[in-house]
Amino acid sequence: MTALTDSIRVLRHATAFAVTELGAIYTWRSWAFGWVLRVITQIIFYALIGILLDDPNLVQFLLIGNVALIAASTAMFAIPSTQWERYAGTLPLLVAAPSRVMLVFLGRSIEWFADGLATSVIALVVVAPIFGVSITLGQLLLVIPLLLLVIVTTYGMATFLGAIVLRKPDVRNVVSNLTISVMAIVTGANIPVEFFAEPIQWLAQIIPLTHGLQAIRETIAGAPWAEIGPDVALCLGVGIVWMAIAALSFERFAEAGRKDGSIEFGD
Amino acid sequence: MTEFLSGWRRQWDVVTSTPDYWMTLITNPLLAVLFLAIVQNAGRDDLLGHAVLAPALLGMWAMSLFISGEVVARDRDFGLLEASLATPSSYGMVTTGRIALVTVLALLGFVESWLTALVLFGVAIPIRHPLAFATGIGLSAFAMAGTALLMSALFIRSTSVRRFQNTLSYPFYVLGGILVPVALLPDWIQPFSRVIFLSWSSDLLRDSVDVPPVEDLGWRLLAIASLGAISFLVGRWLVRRMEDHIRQTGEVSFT
Repeated sequence: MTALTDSIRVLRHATAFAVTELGAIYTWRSWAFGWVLRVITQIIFYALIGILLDDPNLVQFLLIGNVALIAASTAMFAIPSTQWERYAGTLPLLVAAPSRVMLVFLGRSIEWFADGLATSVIALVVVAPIFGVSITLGQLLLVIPLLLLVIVTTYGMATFLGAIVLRKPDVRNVVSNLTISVMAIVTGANIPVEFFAEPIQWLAQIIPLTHGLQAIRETIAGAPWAEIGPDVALCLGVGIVWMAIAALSFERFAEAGRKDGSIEFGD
Repeated sequence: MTEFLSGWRRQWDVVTSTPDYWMTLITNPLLAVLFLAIVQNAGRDDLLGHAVLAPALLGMWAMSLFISGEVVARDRDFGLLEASLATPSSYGMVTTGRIALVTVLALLGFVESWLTALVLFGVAIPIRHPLAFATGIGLSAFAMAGTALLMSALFIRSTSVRRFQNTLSYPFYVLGGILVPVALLPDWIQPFSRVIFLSWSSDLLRDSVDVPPVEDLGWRLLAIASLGAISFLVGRWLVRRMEDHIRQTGEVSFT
């Protein structure tokens, strides 16, 4: 019971830190007129490709795909933000502390949940009417939890990549951007998954966004729960697997650091 | 010239030791795959050339802008901005040298995109109007360097460079008609697009890979050159003005 209480306490503090960090990164004004404006124009950029290709169905396909991609991409910020502990010099202290490192990292980047959800929902609500894509309030209310699912499960993958990047801090932004680019290509956000060769389709299956986005598309198309449910379950399952691998990675990293003293106070 | 060259050399040292600076060139082939796949999946092979040019133009803008911001942000972080302003040499000229190197490196994106189309999609995009293409690329690089200098001048006074930088990507990709021509944007937006050199560059480069002859080549090149020159001159003037202002008032600090 004490262990559980301690874990919750660690998570609570890490989450409080995440919220404070978000406040340090953005002001309300810079978030709304900087980040959100940028995201809205990103969705417009991709939806316009549908106009260029003169295909109204493609406009909707690209618009919805990129809204979900934004949600997932925001979760990917956990890769660099995990690394910020190293730059702050707090990583060796976290490794030396008796609590599990994974708990701290699970909570310390959680600000991206709120950011990703708010940004993607605002982008959907603003951009869809511009391109004549109809999303009813009922559909929106169903899509919001699915976007959250995409963020949470992608966060598992990002946390794992964050654990790997802790060993090679200089490449944090490269890894984050490469992963987002790969997701943009293979998950069905811009091109149907079936377009690619079979090995790439398999790669898509281990990315939570592939399944979460499929569920979102089905929801907007008015598909029955029997069709949406398996995709939701797959998205969740893949996310849980990533989270478990992330936990193992963090523990191995911490253990190795304790043994050989390779984690220094600053870079 | 010495300041320009020392800026060029300094930036080469920084670029070769910082993976982040290669990010655009690392992700550029993936962006090319993305655009090529969208176009090919839609059965519009006539637009494959446009899909090859878009990531290169996007990369040129992103890399120049990212690094012009980083130049100032890092100089500020390391206390070099203040020290540079205290020297008699021109910070603007050193910065111009640094930005010029980055812009030249960013041109590799055109080669990467072309090779991606060839290797992964088996499509060799022909440059049907090489003169228009070569002059278009050359002047676009000049205009890009001018724009990056203008941006870095604005960044000098801003302590939140990275936030500002982030906002200057997709709005300009839309307005610059990087993949979707400006002609397809709403009428009221088009005048705004035309003051951004990218809109002229992207139209001209697209036309240079298409079959029909390139019309009004001289005027279009003049538009790119003029917009680049204006940005460059305004950027230089702003940097010099800020240098003078900061030297007089001491409005920067090492903290």
